Amino acid sequence: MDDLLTDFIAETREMLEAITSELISWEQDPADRARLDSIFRFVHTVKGNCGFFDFPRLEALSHAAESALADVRAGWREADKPLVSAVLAIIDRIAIINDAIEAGTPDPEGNDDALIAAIGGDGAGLDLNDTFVETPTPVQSPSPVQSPSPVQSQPNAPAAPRTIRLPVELLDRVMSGVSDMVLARNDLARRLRETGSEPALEGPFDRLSGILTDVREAITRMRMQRIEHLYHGLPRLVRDLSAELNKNVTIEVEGGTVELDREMIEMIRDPITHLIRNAVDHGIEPSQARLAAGKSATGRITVASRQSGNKIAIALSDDGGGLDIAKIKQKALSSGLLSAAELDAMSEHAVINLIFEAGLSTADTVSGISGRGVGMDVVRSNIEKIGGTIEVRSAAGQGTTFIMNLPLTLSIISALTVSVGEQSFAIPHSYVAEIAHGKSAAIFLSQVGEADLVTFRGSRIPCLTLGNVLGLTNRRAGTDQRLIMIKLSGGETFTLAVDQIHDQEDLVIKPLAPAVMEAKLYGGSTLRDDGQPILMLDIPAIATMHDLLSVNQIRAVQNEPDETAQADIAKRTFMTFVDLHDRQRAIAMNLVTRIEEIASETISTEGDRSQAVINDAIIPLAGIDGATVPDGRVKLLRLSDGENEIGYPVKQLGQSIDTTEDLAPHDTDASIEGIALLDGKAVPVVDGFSLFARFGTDSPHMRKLTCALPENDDWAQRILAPLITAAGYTVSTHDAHNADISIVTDGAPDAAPNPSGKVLHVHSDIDKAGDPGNGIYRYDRAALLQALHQAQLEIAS
Amino acid sequence: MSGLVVLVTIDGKRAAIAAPDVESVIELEAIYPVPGAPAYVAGLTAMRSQTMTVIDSSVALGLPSASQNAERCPVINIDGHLYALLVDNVEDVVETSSECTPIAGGYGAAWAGVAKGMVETDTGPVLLIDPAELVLKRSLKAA
Repeated sequence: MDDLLTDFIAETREMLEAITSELISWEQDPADRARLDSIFRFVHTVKGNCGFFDFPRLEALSHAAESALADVRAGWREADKPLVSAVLAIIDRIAIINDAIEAGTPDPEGNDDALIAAIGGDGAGLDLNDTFVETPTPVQSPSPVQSPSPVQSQPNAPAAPRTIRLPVELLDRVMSGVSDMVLARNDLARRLRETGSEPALEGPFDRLSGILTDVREAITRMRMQRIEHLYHGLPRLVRDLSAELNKNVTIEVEGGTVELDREMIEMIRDPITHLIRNAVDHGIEPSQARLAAGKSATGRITVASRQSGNKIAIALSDDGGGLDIAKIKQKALSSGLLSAAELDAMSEHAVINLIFEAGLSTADTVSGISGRGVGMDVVRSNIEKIGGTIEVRSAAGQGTTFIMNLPLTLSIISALTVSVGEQSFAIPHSYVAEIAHGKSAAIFLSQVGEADLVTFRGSRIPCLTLGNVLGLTNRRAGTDQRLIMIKLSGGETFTLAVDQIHDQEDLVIKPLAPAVMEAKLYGGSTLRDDGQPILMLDIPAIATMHDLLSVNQIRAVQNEPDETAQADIAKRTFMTFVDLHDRQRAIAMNLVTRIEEIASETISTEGDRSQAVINDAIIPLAGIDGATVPDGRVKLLRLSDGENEIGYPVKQLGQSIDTTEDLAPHDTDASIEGIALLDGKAVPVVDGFSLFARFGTDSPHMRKLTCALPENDDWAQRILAPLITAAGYTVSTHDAHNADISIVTDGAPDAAPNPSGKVLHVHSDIDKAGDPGNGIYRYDRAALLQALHQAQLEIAS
Repeated sequence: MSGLVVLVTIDGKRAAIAAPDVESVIELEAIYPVPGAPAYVAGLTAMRSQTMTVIDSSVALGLPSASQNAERCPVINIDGHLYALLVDNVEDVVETSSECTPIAGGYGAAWAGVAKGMVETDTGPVLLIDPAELVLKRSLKAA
């Protein structure tokens, strides 16, 4: 509330300052309509703002001035000298009261009745000159402590929040300056690398980079605002409108936490308000009509916003009657916009989107709420002005949905850089669900007609080859490529095959020239550190272009896996590989969740148990059985029975083979399910059942261990605890006595650890941790994890 | 209008661009093609950490692409977007000695859309072109 009040005072003061010159000009030429309008707007705004606060005096004053000026605007009164003087006196009084509110002092004494009477209505019989001369006197004299001049009153004002108002344009300039600075920094970084490292420059350069990152972040935040700010006023708006129109309407808002450029919020405020007015006025039917149509009596409007990539989508739907296509056609005909033949050739979707054309209002009667002033064409042009798009979907009897897609004016987005041939492109990271190597055995490529399909985790997903999309190549998706699983905001998925995947980077996206936008493939461009411009792919546009968004397509994708699952019953798929003992083996494909490469250092072996650390989680390893793990990168099959995970390191990956034949039994080794005849070779198949029985984490040997942390150590609780949990322990703070392992830090003295458990010393001083037997430095993550795993293995054996 | 113009050669013909329209003349480094873009977009290039769109002037005029382009390119700024114009040759910046005057009979189909008129220079009359038309006219036509 205090913030609102500060805003109100600041806004009023600002408007007062701006209006001073207008007042003077108006006094000289009361017939000046433009000046009259701006003064009217001022008192109107003050009056409106007073509605939020309890300022009866301000409200009465501004209301009086507003009425008088409205009469002048309507031509019922003349802006004669007494009237002008009275308005000026009221504005002076508003300024004084505003100052008093800001200073927190009680209202300056004085009676406004004379002022209000002076301006009120007939004016006949009142000696306006007298009133005018007199009024300023009581205003100023009873409040001698307080200076009427805002400038002088400042020192007395209580410490207001230190805020300033800035033109958004200035922020824009700063922001684009900072973005350019980032690009220049990248350029400089490249040149520094090329000329070889220069220690004298490196330090200051790193510092510069760090500062720049901070500044960029701050500036970005400066401009961002949660879209909630826009939504706050909507329930009230809907309530007032529905009361006025005698309808029952509720509104629901979703996704209020989406952050949007401040200016963008201001720019979409009017269009959204307009759309809501329309929805209440024309969209939602009266209660009786709704009941007759079998709907609930209360209409519903939903506003939902989502961020997807560097775009924000706002969908505004109502569950009203939908747009009347016949009426739109008729209107388009009668207004001469289109001919009957043209209209007949248009799709329904195209026809309803005609409502955005100028001069097409389908409302029969112009009501007080909508159908006046701005039309849908203005809404569209406002959205397009900020680089967005708007379209409408409607179903007769079911409602209407407006979908606005807005850019984040100047965005820094996380993107994946990929390449086709020699050329690099960026894909917004938000669309990337997963990445796989085309060679990966978890992937099957198949062709259906001209289309490529990827089978991944039991789903058939359409596959586009980026080279083909861009017209650079004409090829089928192949195993030499990398596959990017794309997930669109609507949940649709497809795969994009590219030649190489490079890196994930934060990129400053700049708008493209219209000539390049024509390709309809790109959403922006950016410069890589090496100075090479990269185009950012417009993923939704590419999906739309290839019909991957249509409802049928989505259904097909969803249904296909089920059908194939049925067909697969009699058939089993195996993957062949060479294990660490150089033996040919096969494993049921449905156990394999993914294939990874891990560093051999992450594998630790103790006795017959081995485990690997992958992303801070411990995964038991099968299939080592005394074999030596080769140095460097190790290929790892990740197997899952749905609950537990096992890693299976292999020397070499084979291929996946379907077979409908039963396995030949194999009696001697329980770990072998049977012998499969694959491609004419007999290959032992690893038995998944015994594998998980032996290595699954739920086996008794691998029960979850508890780790005690010192109770009063913030660092241990905040930093260490997540790491320990991720390493597969249960963290306990108070039950040190029964814990399998206890962590002891310098800060907190040891609270009686379990005498039979292990104790791990963690030092905040790196020098103390020098000796391996002496504990571990607290930020030596690798050593910490290693120690935790070691303990796990020791306790398990 | 009299003032400074940048003399260029497009499709073997000399043309002039008013100097205030030209932001700078750059040495073109690598051009990175834009797959799927209209033919007159030769690609993107980066200069001093700014990305610009490279326009093949001959193609934009509806003429075949020049076999060899000059390394130097005039850069123009339209609505905040930078465009580098590929031309056969960039000559000098010269002073015009006359106003811009139309020529009876026109300038030929290719040039009609972009021509402003004729200006006199020390080296004879040249066609003054509007670079914004060169870039934007094509966008509209293609759209």
